Amino acid sequence: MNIHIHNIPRIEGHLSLYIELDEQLRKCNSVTAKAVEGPRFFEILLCHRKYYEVPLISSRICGVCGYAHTICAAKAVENAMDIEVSENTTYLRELALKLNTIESHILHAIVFMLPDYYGEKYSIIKSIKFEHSIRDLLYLKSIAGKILKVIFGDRVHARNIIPGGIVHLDNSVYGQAKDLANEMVKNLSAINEILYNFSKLVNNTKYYMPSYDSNFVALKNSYYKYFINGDISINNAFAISPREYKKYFIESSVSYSTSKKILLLGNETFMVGALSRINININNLCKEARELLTQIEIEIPSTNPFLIPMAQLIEIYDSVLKVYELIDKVKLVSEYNRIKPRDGEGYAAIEAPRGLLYYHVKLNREGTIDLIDIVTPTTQNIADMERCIKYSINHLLSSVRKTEMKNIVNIIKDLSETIVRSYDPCISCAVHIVLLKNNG
Amino acid sequence: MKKIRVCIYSLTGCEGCSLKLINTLMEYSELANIIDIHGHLIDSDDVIECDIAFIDGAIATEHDLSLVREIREKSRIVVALGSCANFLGVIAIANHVSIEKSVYSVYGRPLYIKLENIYMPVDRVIRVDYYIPGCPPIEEEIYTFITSIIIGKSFSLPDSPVCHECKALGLPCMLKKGKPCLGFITRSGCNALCIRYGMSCWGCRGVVDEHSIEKTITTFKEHGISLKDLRDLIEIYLLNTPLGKTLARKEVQNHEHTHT
Repeated sequence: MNIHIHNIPRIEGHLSLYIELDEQLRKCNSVTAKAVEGPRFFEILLCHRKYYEVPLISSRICGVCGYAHTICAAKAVENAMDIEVSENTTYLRELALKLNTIESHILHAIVFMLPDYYGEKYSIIKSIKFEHSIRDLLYLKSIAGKILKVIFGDRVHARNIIPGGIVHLDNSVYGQAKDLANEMVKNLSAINEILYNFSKLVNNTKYYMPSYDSNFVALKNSYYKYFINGDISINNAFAISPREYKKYFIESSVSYSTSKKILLLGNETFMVGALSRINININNLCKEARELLTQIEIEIPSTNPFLIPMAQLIEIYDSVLKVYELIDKVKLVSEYNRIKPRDGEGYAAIEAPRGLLYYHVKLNREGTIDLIDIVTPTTQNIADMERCIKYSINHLLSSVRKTEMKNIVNIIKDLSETIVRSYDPCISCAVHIVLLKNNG
Repeated sequence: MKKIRVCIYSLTGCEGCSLKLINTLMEYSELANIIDIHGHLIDSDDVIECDIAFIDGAIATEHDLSLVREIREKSRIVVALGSCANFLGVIAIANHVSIEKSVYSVYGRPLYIKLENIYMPVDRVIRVDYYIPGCPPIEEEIYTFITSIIIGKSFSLPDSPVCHECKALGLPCMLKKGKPCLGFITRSGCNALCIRYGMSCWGCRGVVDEHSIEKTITTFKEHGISLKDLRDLIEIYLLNTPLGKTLARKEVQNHEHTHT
């Protein structure tokens, strides 16, 4: 028997799910997630472009995490040209990534995920009468957007982040940015209440997900450089530099989708994103965020995807407090290294809101792009998502109560959709690409 | 007062425009009381009867094509939101590469989804009532549009170029600095956002009607900027406009040649 869920709502982009069960409904044979969008050929658009245009064009790959693409592209170009940016620029980019993550996480955890917890009919922005805590979080999202807008020009696509630094910063908006950061801190308590509700839900889902083991991958970072710098850690066991990424993470194209898949060492699925980051960097969260983690009693490390929205809320908490601290550390003064175009090959990895983002660029002597290779978080997560859905359906089928059997197809559909959504896939990111490989 | 039903539909694109629209509705909370909103990012993908349908992204797949037709049938007003829906924007590049060849060289096999032969902006297939361009669109413009519809006022886009906004703001001219900039042919309404932040204008809001291709070329020449620079710039957003079709096609085909 086959179950087909067409175009899953409340995710970024268009994804369909095909689930194959055996005739007796005792076993799930396969789960395949298919991206159902047309490819957008960004690599072709980016090839032959000047090095300074790349961050601003690649931003258009994604409407949610444009900032992550801009910053990662800028870093890859800088790596290719051996350019070091100032500490102030690094902090400002970290600030941008934090604000982008606050926006992205609230969109996912609140607008996309909450209806799963409150039942289908519940939709956040349909009703102005939503609970205080939700309203406060949406307000927090809007403030994060405002800070991005005053410092970097726009809340969706940055305008002034370029290879070598950040330009056109305006110190006269500093006071405004600081007030807004302060305003965010005031609204933080909303997170506690929502986290508490989420943790109740996770207790209910233990039935579906007793233990799901997977690999987790994220940058090993530091307290203030949580998204921007670091080596790539695998299971917190060992770490590799971004340059070595393709040795460990092997790409395979799949016949049924416009998105590619990446497997660890070519055979194991793995998870990237908020939960992986917390697994690896729990000690770099601020004290308050760690306390929150203790209060909700979730065990770290974990690869239970139902915990991802909670990990995101913890990260929002951490990010808001650190945005407040970072604003004190940065100067809004343009800093830019003059660049003399040159050739080179560069690699960069940063943490986008949804997880590890990898860029590889080759520049020629004029400083134009000869080759660009982009691996997005969703491309990495998709195989793990399929495996997890298969695992939980099999668990469900082996333990289902007789009374539920009548309704089993709907239960499987709900369960699978919720797992897909938990991973926070971004299909626009995943299908941006046709990779132009130099197969040498 | 009966609530106005607004639907947000996304075709092939980045959904940044949908998010801008949602942000706008959250920002201007007075709208939330009179608007009932549906769509992929909010509840479901079903096409339902509505007053205003916003469409972002371009028509790339067979599914996109049947979706826009259904949307037109069920919506009182159809709005093309963002550069891709308006004139293909950054997706236009797809029409200048051999899709099958590229896909095959990359995926090693044909795609399972059926792609249209060419990618199309929304108004190539259905009648569009209003256009809100931009990559992404400006929140204030979305707000003005929605309130205009609600109170029954007419809505139109500004028909002056970004240049005028630059002058009003006293910003230094990029062309005069020798930097390729399309502000003199691009529709205003963004308050010269990119120029304010140190970029030049790439034309994401589309070309204002009255400017001819010759004038564009002459202006670049007068400022000592090469035709190649002009072509490169037009390739980002304006490939699918008359200007882009005249100027940039050859260039892009060359790209394809070296890279597939």
